[in-house]
Amino acid sequence: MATLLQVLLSGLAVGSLYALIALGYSLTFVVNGTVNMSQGQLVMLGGMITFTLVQYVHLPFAVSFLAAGIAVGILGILIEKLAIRKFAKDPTSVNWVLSTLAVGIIIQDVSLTLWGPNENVVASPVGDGIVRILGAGVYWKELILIPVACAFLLFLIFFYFKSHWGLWLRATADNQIAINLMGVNSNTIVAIAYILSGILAGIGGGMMSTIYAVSVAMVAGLNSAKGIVISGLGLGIGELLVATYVSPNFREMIIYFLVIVILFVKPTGLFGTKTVVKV
Amino acid sequence: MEANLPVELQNRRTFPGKYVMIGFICLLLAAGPLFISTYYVNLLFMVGIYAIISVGMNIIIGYSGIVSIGHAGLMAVGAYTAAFFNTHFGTPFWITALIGIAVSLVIGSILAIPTIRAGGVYLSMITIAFGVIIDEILIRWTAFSGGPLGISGIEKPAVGSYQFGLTQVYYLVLIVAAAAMALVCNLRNSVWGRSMLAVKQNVIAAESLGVKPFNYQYAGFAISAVFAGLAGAIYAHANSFISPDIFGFQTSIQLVLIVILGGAGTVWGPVLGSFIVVILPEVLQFDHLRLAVYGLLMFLVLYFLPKGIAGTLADYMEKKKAPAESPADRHSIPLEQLLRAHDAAASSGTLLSLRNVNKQFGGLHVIKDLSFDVPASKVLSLIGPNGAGKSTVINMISGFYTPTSGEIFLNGQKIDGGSPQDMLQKGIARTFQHTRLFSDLTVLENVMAGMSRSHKQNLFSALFRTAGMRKQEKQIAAMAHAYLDLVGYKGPRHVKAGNLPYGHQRIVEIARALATKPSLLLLDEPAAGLTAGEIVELELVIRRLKEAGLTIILIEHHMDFVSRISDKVTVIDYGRKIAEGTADEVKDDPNVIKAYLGEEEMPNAENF
Repeated sequence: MATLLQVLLSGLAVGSLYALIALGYSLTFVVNGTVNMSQGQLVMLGGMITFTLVQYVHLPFAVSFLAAGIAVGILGILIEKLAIRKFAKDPTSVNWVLSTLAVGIIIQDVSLTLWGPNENVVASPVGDGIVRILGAGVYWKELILIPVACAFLLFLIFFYFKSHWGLWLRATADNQIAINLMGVNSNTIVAIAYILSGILAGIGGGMMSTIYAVSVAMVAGLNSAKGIVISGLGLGIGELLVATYVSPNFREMIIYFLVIVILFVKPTGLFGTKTVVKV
Repeated sequence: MEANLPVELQNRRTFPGKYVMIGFICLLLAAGPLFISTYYVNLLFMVGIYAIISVGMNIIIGYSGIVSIGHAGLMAVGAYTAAFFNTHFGTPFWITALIGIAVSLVIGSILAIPTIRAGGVYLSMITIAFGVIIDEILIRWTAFSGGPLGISGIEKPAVGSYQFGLTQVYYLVLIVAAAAMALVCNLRNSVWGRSMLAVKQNVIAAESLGVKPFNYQYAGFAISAVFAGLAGAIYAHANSFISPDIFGFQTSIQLVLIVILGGAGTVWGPVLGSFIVVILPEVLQFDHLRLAVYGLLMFLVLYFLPKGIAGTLADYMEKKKAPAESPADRHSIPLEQLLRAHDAAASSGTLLSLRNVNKQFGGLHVIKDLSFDVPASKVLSLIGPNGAGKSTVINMISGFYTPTSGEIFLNGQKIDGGSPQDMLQKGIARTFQHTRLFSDLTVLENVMAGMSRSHKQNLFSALFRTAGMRKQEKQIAAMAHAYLDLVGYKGPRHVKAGNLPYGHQRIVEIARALATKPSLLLLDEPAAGLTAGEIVELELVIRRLKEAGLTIILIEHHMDFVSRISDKVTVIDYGRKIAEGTADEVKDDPNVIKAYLGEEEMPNAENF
């Protein structure tokens, strides 16, 4: 029982981070139908920048991790401008998949050359202490993820639904031609979606294995933010359950297999709805 | 490059120079081992291995538009299966290769189902996920795969007691690669190739011709799995050693890069791409940042050479030298063979009836209790103001929309709710309000694509270009010419349809619809955008078809044209029928005038 509770709590913590990152995918997909396939590498980059700032520049963690968010957010602008804008015009082409994959490969290889293959751990500002809840021991550094992720989620929701930028984002998602006619440059709005998505990747960075969040976005149905949050949490918990009760070796394999099975049964994802094609 | 040309045209252009050149290249490649060191022979061998897989991937990327980023996984399946059987049971290469192909085909076919069903973004992600799963299995399932260390000591291919050396293996790869290219080239110039490209370029139009997208994409995926499995098996035996990292995500990316760099959908593209991608890093002597270079290369190709090297060259050649148009292969085919035999008894009655048909999109009630009859061998015009629901009616009759309620009868048989393919089978063909030609197929091939349903070929005869298949292709081409003659098309026939002027596109689309041998033809605004002269010609064509027994439903806004040609006019407004009769009767109907011009007795009319 204590083990189960521990697994659930840890899973919830990791899952909320997944949800945050996966929301970055969803954001751009909703706004112009593209997904940044290099999001995983951006997460990694966020982690490495945070590590570098903490370890070598000796900045406090909070500053480093926000700086990483901003840096990756800026990279998001570049990605939109170079890898998305030209290719997103043709809705039937998947060239943007290839171009963003290429971006990811470049980031990965350059980062490898810069930082080497070593695994780096950033010490959590809350330390390595364990908190006991009903007999279950959970790391503080895991538990703290839940409120932090929630804070960012809340901020995002506020931005999306209450600010005029959010309104433009939603309007662009709905009808890009109409928003252009209203005198708003839809390219700028798409760029904003990419900045936000980059920031999310940056701040969520380092703690995620790179390609993992991709599958979260897939399972959840890319056009449903709610689904992504739920599956993010679900996958986080599921991953730890598999690792604890089956074997840590199999967690990736099983998660990917699940992704294929789910897409097999429901091609639009778990929560996505099929759009009617107009003839 | 020749892939872009239709069959009979290629045959005509086979001047000896071309064969001499191909023969020369083959000879050069075959003589290679005599002049160059084993290091370079080994590189050429790798080029060949990649060429075999990418020629297969070209079918799905170039012809079907399915970008798979997991084909290294299928290659691994072939390689490991072959290696397993060889090292455990001593099975010789020739048998393990077949087993490898079989297993890869089975797994590829299973993978193809969710991949094709998902489509779009999900498609690429499923294939990535597949590659990751295979990689994980290879690392974990030690009993089968030897884990991260892989399998070593795989026997070289042998004939009797004679063991193949590098040179012999290289020749083997060369032959297999050439055979793979020939097969794919054959496939391109068959019903299968045309249908695949049709689905890729315009899935809605393809469905309107009765083509089932899934079948063709599935077949393409299966063939590519066979090639990947075969290449894997050859690689395993030739290299004697395999490990999981050979077949990782990086290899899958390389394969995609090969196809798009060389030119997706071209015959030589994959070979060209393999050369560049395999040789380039060796020439540059890169140790670091090799992947980054691939990424950068991919980026540059997408930006500056979206059609790849071979595709760009082919376009350039086409611009420079327009293919010759020769009327030699046009035989006059009697009208009865071109159009569906028309039933004298049925032609007196009603061909199609709608009974209380309703269509709702969510809360929007688009068609309300619509009923009308279409007399056989007559022209019925469906008119009404913009947004009246005319195209929705056509979409329901042709199976693209399902009526919310009500019934549609064809020859007394209830047909509503069928798919576009079902409707086509029953003899309903259509054109589209905005023309939907397959822009990268030639004009002639567009019309030939209309016969995909009636002239089936099995995959085997298409791949191997059997005598029967060649005869059938000739017949299809001749028929296609005849359909173009029938609609009075006077433009070039061997140019890509996307390059045609608008008026020609409309006419070709009608020819393509006719090629399905319909009894009912639905024309959605055929005169829109045509010049006055072209409209007169269109009128002649429609009359000719009507006289041959075809029934036609016409949506049109040119009222002169409608009055001249229609036997019956049905007017709808806001999804409701408001008038019906001859053109003259309808013209004076107060309801119609009201619908088009608004209320006559508007109090402030003069203010407008």
